[in-house]
Amino acid sequence: MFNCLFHVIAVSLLVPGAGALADDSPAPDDEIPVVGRPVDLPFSGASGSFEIEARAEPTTIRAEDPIRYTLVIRATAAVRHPPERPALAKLKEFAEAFYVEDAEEPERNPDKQTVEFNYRLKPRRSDVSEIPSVPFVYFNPTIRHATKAFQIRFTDPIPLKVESSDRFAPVPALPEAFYHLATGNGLFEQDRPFRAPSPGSLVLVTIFPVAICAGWYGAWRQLYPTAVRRSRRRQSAAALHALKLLRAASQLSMREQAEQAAAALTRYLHVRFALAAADPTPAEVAESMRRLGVSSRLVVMAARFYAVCDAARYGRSLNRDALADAGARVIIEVEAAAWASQRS
Amino acid sequence: MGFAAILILAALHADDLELSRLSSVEIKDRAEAAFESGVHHRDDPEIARREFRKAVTCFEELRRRGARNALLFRNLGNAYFLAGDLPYAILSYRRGLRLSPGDVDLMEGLDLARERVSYPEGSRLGRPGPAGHASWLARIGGEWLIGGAIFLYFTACVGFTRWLMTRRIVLLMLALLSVLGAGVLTLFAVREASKQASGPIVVIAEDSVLLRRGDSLSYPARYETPLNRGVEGRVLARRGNWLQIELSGGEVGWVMTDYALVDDEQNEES
Repeated sequence: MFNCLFHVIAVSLLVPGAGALADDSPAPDDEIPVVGRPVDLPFSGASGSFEIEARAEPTTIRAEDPIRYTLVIRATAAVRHPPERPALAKLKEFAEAFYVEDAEEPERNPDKQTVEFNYRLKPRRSDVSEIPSVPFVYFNPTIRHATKAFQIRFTDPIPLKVESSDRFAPVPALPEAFYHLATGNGLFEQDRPFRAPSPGSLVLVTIFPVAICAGWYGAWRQLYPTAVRRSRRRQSAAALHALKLLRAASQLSMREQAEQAAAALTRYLHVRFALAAADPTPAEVAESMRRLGVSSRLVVMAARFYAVCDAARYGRSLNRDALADAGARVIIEVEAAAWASQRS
Repeated sequence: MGFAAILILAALHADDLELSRLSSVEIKDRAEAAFESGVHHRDDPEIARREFRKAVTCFEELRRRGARNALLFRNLGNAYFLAGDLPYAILSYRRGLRLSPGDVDLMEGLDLARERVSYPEGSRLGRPGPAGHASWLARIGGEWLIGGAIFLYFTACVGFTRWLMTRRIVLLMLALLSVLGAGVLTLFAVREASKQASGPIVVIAEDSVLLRRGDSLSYPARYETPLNRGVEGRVLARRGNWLQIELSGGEVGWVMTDYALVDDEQNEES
């Protein structure tokens, strides 16, 4: 449509005496020769004299955002043939850098001498830095030599700033928690990442519980001795007590000493061997000890001690120390035998 | 033109100077205000991102002053994320998780950030783990593992001591099981510690970065598939301005330092 309109306008207004051409029948001298056409550039089909310029809006965009690109072709002399719409998509530089689409209003005539071709360009990449120049090839019939009559004009390249789409992309839609900051003085803390403990601290950590438990066990043994240990301690205490009484008795009279020595040994044997009788005779002591598995040597020693004590009680004179020594020997021998049997 | 650039640089430097004069509390307040403003302007991406970047600058200043904690890195990660800087967001979440491996917020942030990394279709190159999650051991954290091992060891000592006292077989069994548990936890803790001590975290900062066979552009790509922003790995070696990195799937190759973010704090700490 435009072509016809432009043709009519151009021919009627710009070409003197062109009225004969208004009926769309080109005069023989309107014919555009084939000879001389550039082979590497598309011919616009225009005949006359023209100027071309390009506009783009906007020139700062993000990749794949559209640019309104306008080619303005202005006739500067008589127009024999109007230009056809340049096929930008067929230009290599455009095809590599842009998606070329038709604009909503592909063509318009702002005035009788001008035609505007509109395009929608979308940069394919963010590194596209300009809209390349567009070659416009037309035939100038006023130039007689056919090979020189095909003129080429180029638009100026238009610098373009294609920004990363990040700047324009919407803020990521994240869960609501992301829009709330952690606050407080905890933000200033200087934490450190986990590191394996040093060998020294590992040794400490290993030894410490063992030491604690060893101490606990020792304390437990002291505070809660077993029945055997408790018995052993009690027996030892009885032996010590008996020896102490025997030594103390040496200050008394012979009769009293004999009575106290016998009583001390009886109490000791009562604890050690659970001797039943309160005031046993030498025969009873021997019988009880034998029954409990005490060695015959010890039985004899104990029986002899009781016999000596009886003799002293009934007036027989004895060496004071000999009585105490005899009692002490019995006690020590019994204790020694008891420890020996526990060890074995 | 040159004069304008000088003016812009001077203005940026003035911002840094201004921040350096403020106290940490004031910087924190400023970061919070900028972040709130960003959230308020959520519908205007340009303004919102500018505000989030301001918050990032303030939080980074706190980090520069020595603050290192999960809360700060969570804020930093969120601010980077909302400002559209995916690689730094991932790096921040990873830094936070190194300090606090069990932090749920940091893990959630990292998961969401990883969802936005564009991994090449049909390739597992650079994809983190089977499900993209940290192991349960990493979530527990080395301190807790060591703490658990010490507790079990102590329990074993107590159990053995009580067994000596009472000779009850149940106590001996308890002691033996506790020793076993303590040993296992210690092994896990040592493993985690050695993992922590392995090469620093690296995050690819640009799209279409090729993993090369050597430390120069003259080396061919090890894989045809390029790496995109946000792909994670760890640094094995450095040579000039090249890094040898290992991706989560064990793929090893070289990238230029210009295309990668490295957690150099890890080096400083170790």
